Amino acid sequence: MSELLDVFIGESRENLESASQELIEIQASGPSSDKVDKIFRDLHTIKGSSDLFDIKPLTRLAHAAEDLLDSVRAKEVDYNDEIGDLLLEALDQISMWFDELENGTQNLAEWQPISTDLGAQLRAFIDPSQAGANTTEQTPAAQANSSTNEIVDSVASALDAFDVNADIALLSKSASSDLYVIEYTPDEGCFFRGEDPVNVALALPGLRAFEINAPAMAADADVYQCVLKITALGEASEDAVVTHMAYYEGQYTLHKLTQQALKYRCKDKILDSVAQLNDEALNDALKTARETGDTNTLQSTAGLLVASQTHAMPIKAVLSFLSSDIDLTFLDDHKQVGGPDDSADAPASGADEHSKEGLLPHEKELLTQQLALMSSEGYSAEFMFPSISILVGNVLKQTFSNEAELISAINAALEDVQNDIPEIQDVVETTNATNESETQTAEEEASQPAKAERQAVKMLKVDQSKIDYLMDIVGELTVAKNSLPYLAKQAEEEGGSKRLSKQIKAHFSIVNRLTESLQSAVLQIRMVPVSHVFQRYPRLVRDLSRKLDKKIELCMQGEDTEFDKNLIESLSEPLIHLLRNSIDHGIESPEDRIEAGKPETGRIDLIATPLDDSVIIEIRDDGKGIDPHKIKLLAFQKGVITESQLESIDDNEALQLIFAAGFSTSEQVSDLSGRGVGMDAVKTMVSQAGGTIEMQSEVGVGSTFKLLLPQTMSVNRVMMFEVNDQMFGVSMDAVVETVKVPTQDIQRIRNENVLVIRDKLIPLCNLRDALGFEPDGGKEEHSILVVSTPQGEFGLIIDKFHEGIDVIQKPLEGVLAGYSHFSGTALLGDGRVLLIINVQEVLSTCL
Amino acid sequence: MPVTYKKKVAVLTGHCEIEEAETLFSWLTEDASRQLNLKTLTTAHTAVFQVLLCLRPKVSVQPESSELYWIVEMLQSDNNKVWCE
Repeated sequence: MSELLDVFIGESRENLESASQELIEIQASGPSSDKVDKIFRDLHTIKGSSDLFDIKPLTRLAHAAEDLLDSVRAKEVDYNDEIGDLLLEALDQISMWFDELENGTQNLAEWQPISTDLGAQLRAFIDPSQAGANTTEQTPAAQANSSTNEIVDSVASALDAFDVNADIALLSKSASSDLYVIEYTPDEGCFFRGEDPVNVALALPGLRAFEINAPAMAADADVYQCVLKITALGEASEDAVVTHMAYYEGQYTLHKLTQQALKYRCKDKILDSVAQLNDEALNDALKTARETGDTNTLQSTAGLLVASQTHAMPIKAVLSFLSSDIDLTFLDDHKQVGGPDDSADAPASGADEHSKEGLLPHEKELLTQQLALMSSEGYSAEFMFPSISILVGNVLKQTFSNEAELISAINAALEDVQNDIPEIQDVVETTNATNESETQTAEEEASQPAKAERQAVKMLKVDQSKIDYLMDIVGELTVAKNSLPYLAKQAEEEGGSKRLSKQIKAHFSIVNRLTESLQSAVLQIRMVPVSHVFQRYPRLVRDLSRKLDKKIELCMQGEDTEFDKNLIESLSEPLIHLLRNSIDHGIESPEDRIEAGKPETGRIDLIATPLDDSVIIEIRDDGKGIDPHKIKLLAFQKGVITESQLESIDDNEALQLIFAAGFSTSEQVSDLSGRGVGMDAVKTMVSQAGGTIEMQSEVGVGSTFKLLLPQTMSVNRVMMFEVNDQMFGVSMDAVVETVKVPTQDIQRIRNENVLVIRDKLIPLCNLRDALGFEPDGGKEEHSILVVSTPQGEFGLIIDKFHEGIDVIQKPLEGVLAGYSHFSGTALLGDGRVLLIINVQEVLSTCL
Repeated sequence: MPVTYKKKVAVLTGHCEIEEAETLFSWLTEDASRQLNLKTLTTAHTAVFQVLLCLRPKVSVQPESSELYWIVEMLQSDNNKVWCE
């Protein structure tokens, strides 16, 4: 994926997110111009940047959405929920396409119909009469018509509106079958969107002719309002035109027609024109061509007539059409009465005989070039005509014997052209004069609406990997810093210099302070407000509640609570699971709620509260709650608990059973949640992020899920201790206290070592056994590390306590990855590796 | 500067951006006898073309650029139709 695409997707995703957020807000609290404006700008940005890449369907869809919003903004269209839903759908579609782009699995052919369909739906709101018309007038019925060589009325009227003879002129200029007429009326405000309609029209593929309708402007007119109407004729496939006009959807109507249909339409005109010309050679050639299919003669005759005489526009067009390589079968469809057929009975003249030989291809080419030269804008009769006439004369001499007749015709044509010029100048002068009288008294006042400019945000976008790298370096620095105390110790013990040791220690405190501030600064960079994740949820809640026909209100608190970015990302999934659960299983249907005496609309609270170095996230619903007895029974049925546990387990413990693997409380599995993997997965994800989850519930009142998560996952404070001369660590969060007790204080109850501290019974676990070391018998005093776990407090019997230390915990990799006893490793200042114990796992093997 | 305003004639050079449209429009409407020299004009924004097509000022020198054949034709004829050759 290119870097540019990367940036585009990243930025556009932000735009998408903010747009859908605003949309949700609009749906909740009604439209406000600010919000519509913001969504409009977001979509505008996406549309604009997407054009850098070859993803036209996406651009078109974004454009359609943007246009709809523009109409809403201009109060031309009233906002309603249907529009909102459709816009959200469009945003979702775009987001899905971004996914495909990121994975490189995009298939534009698949995108196309989706884009067309959604785009048409969006545009139907702007102009209901155009519903389904989209960009082309061609409906299936119309397509059927065109195959029978008829032109749809709308196309015919568009052609006629351009010029009465537009059909024949277009026919004479087109070579391929796909022709089009496009009526492009740019929006008044299109200049402000950076559009340049005339140049767009000029660049239309296969452009053959165009008209720019420009009304006279009053002197106080706004020059930045586009008042032009452009009609263009050309030959190109529908696709090519639609692609070219992708940006201007909704501003143009495209009429498609085939050359064949045009030929049939022009048939009468062609025959009439030939009759008007009353040229025997041509008539005869036309007749021969129609009878024998030999069009060579006809082409050369018509070509010569074009070159030799000045005709009215339609006749000229007919002749140039006839001179091209054509198929005349269409002329025979009906036998024309009168005209060429009758008059062509006359015997061929001498000239005709010559013309039958036909012009050689290079001669024809030469004549065509001269013709082009004469009608070019740079044509100047005085300078160019002599050379042209000589050339044409030479060519004609080769073919014709009666040159005198031809030269006189050419001279007549020259006269005609020169007579025409003063006439045109007169017209121009009169037009100017009228404009002058209109405009002289007027004053100049053209106000330029200020362009809405987005406020520049003083933000710096940095690749996350750079921050991660910085974090790693800080981690290394922390480790390096930790080696200073060792150095001090060494200096004292081996070097015997207490002074040096003291100096090193003093220095350590400075380095320590700086490292800590550096570390917290880097951590700050990685901190993002939890709203980053939260803002996706209103949409989720809204969608799901509609799907389930429930009424649910989501209230969020503490969105500005900050979290480590990595943590937040790992948090998103479990929260979605929990929310889904609350929506699906928690909140009752409106009828049930009314019956239960609750308000019809259910409420889900999503609350983030900072607590020291952790954050508590609560998801609270006021639904039907969870019945612990039901859970107990289900857990027993599914074999999650034994019969004895069924008896002994208390309500709170029963509730926590929903986090057990393979447990689903819903009798009916729905597509939202309730596959029995959800809660288990949630718990795993939360504990992977170093957090804990618990739930409380009261039947009929609601349930609360409480997640306790560390604010950062990068630096851990661990307590070091020694077992069998080896260093281990345990997370400082788990440590409750450290005690040293004489051996006789340890009691045995039912084969378990226990210790009573301050009237509290604490089960003990000997780490030497648990970690597989030789037992160390005959100690008089034991060091015990009391740790807290969700199951209560436990004591770990160890050999020796060490200090607490900040470490960057690394996950176990390679051969160590299988050891569940350890949660990670860290590097100590003196180069040793510290294994960090996973207390829960160790206890489960030990007890 | 794409547009140089002289006493009677404004000379349009190269590509005329949209920003020129406003000044050009007011300059042309101030005095209807003012003319345009399009000799070295190559392209222009629609807004500029719009001023030319709506006000139809006298053109003292036609553009040399073949790209602009159509504006010449349009300003010379009474309709704004052009067939591409």
